[in-house]
Amino acid sequence: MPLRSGISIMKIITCPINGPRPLQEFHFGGEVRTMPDPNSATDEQWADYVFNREGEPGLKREWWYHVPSGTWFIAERDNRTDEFVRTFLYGAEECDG
Amino acid sequence: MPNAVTRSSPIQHLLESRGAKFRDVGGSSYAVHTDSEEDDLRTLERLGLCDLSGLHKLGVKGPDSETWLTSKGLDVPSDVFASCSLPNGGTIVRLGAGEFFLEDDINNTTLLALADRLDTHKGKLVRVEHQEATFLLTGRRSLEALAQTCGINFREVTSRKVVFTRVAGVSCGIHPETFREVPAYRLWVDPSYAVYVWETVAEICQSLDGGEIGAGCIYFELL
Repeated sequence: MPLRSGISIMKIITCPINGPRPLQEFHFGGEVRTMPDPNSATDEQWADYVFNREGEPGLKREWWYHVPSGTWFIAERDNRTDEFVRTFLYGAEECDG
Repeated sequence: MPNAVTRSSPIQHLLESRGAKFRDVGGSSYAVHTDSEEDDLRTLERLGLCDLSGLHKLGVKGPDSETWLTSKGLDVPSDVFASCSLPNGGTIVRLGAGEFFLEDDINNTTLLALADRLDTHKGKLVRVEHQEATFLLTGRRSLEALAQTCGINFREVTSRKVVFTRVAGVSCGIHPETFREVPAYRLWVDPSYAVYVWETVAEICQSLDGGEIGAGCIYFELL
């Protein structure tokens, strides 16, 4: 993350299990999306799920993976500023990002 | 037949090529010493890197795992990533609500008995295979070595609680300990990266006036 002075600092992500860690320990897992029921979805709904992604800038809910511990979690990230707003485990209490 | 074949380290060829002497104990092969015994002991206190990959490991996972382990007379840690000692030496770490990782002492008495009983158990638990390499970084300057390879400040880390992070870009678990009144850090790393991690950390140790040491200065039974 570049600062105004030109100095760079390490980007830190807070893993809900392991706490604050450098970005290098994480992999991005894509947008959080709900899969339609394959048995009842129309072809259009299924094609939309498979091929289309939400491209509008804003606050996004994304899957992230802490590689050393094997922890998947959800992060809310503002992709206009690249700031992590909060992170939390799927179906669990949220914690500060 | 878990002990039919002698367990060897993924970096054994490396240590053999440097003249290390090996000895088999508890079904595993260990590099006893790299230099003289006295030199190894001095290096251990300053900054030493020791290969303990021969230590036997076992993973237990499932809703019944905690009950099963306590029924076998083992104390299990209550917090995730916390650890406690096995009765005859060795370590047990809680990896999750129903998952544990165990590493035995050099004599491999506890895990040998446990593994046999686990294979015949019918409850809600499964055996998880663990073949990580184990490296022990010891000495007063071990924090300086870690600081060059890892993004965690281990001055602020609780002792005997595993930290899963990266060392030289490789995912690993690090277990802070104290050995002979000097800090020690046990690294568990995927065996396919063992040579790279060993070479990288050993090079850093040498630059800090440390070096490789044999397991004989950790376990006197090997001498």
